Amino acid sequence: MDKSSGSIEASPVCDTAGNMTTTVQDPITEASSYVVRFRNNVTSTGAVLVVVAWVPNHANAVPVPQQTMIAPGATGELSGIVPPAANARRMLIVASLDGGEGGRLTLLENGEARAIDDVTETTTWHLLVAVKS
Amino acid sequence: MRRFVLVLLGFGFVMMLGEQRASATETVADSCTEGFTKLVDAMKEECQSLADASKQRLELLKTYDPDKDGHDATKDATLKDLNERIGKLKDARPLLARGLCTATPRNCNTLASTVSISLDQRVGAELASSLAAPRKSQAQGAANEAAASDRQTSNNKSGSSAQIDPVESIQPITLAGGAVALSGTRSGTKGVGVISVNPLALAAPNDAVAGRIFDISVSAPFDLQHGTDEDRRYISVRLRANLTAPISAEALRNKVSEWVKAEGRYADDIEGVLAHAEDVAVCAEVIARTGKPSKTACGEELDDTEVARVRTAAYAEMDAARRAADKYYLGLDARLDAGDPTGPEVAGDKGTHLLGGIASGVRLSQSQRWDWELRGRAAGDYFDSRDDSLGTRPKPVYSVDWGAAFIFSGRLENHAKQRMAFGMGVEGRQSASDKSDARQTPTNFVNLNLMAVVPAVSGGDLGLAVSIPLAEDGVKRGALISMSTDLGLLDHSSN
Repeated sequence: MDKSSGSIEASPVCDTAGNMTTTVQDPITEASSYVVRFRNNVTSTGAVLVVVAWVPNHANAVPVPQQTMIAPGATGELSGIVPPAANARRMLIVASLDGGEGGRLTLLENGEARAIDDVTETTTWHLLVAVKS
Repeated sequence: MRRFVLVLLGFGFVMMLGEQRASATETVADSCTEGFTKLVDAMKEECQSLADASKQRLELLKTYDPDKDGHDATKDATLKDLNERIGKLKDARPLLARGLCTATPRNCNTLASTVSISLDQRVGAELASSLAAPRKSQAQGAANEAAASDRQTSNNKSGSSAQIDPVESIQPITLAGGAVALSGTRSGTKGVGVISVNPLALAAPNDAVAGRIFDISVSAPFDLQHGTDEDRRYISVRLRANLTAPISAEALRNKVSEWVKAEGRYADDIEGVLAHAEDVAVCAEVIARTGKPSKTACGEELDDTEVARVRTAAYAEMDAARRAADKYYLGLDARLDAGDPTGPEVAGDKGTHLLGGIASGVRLSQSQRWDWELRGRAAGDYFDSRDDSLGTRPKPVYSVDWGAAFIFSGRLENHAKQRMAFGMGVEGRQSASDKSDARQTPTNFVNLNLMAVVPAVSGGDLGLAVSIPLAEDGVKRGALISMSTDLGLLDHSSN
């Protein structure tokens, strides 16, 4: 993966409309371990749903979507290994929030924080799957 | 000889075709690589600025969490400035700046994966706009509904002298839990230890379906004055299953799967379009800006209605799942008791007891922090006496068991991590068997149950309950006063 640009985190906003944000993050490398963590603020009025899914490359098999529901004041995680780039084009991370919730969404790749964002509305992160060099 | 020549000629022809195909592939690959490089070169400055600002922002956020540690005016200002800088770059080249600057390898496949995100962005924006108006008018309702999904899990102590809830919930514990209760009964002060385990959640902690289906609890009493002797050997096993959980979570998983598969198919199609585009850079830029290829820039168009439909459906399902996951529940309540729960002081309660039925509940939000919960249970009950002190053992007794309760719970302040709860309910059992047998077994009663639960330590609470018999025709149990500590062991939701 080319990290010569030094970019390891994306803008909080790539496209926002109403109560939804879509962000493109830097690529995640195949075969690396990932952890998607969401800390639901104690002041949140309800649970937050976090989903991790993989967009298949040429209809190849990808891991089934993962999902977890996180109560206010709690921290939840989804983790796994990034599938081969030949099988998965993109990683999708969705934090589904409603009015009144807020929290911190963090992505770790091989134990290192790759992306962090404080979110207050439904947020989708897209990450291309990069070939391991 | 002739055959040999023909084979040679055939081999040569195949080789020639292969070379031509390889050459065509290389041309396509070269064309996409060239387009890729052209686009990235045009954004070199933006790429570098974005990389620098993004790196600074991540480093700041790694050590600064305003919601957890409190706000710092200087850091907030820096963060705001970085967000604005990044935002401006994004406005200049939406998507391409982020997607292409760091993408590798730089071929048609990667380019298609990158630019196809734009469709998701476009559909997401349309969806958000369509939802914005109704959501605005329903903002308060949505917030109240959302509050209901803050589920309280507890150890299952139903039917024992350690029961605190006026009617026990059937929502399984998140992972595992333990409770120790002290009960003042007419046969003295009793202790009850309870362990609850959610085996599927422990086996697959990331599976929302598995973690919400069932848990198993085992409890056993201990006598503070006499220890455990032959007469007090007793064990109870409880199983509760929330049957609404798999329905909602499975539907969600299916919708998300449909969505990503459709996105994958669309990206595959875009890859084909890019491979045949006259000017890959122009075609890619048009897709990135508009969400789909145009005939003018790419030579052909693509139908994106299916992707848009499944994307919208997946988001609607996520919304529904989040709201409904903990608001309603309906499931099974199964209990097995073997032995003598109260010792020899109470004659007639030693035996094998089976209960099986359905239970349900609903939360009704009252405000951002407080809500009412209604619970109910209807079950069949079987009791086979093994009490020799009765002289003649009664025949097995069949009863109808029921319970109904309301609970008012919530947090005193927004920042409170644990909830307070107050509840009142009635539980009863009416036998359908011979009256003389029923009189010697624990049935034909109606109890009024009162509960108060207050937060105690992080991840635990302290409960006080009083159970007063309103009617008691079978074995006389008398009033119970119970105090219980409830700890959510391994339970991340209570951290």
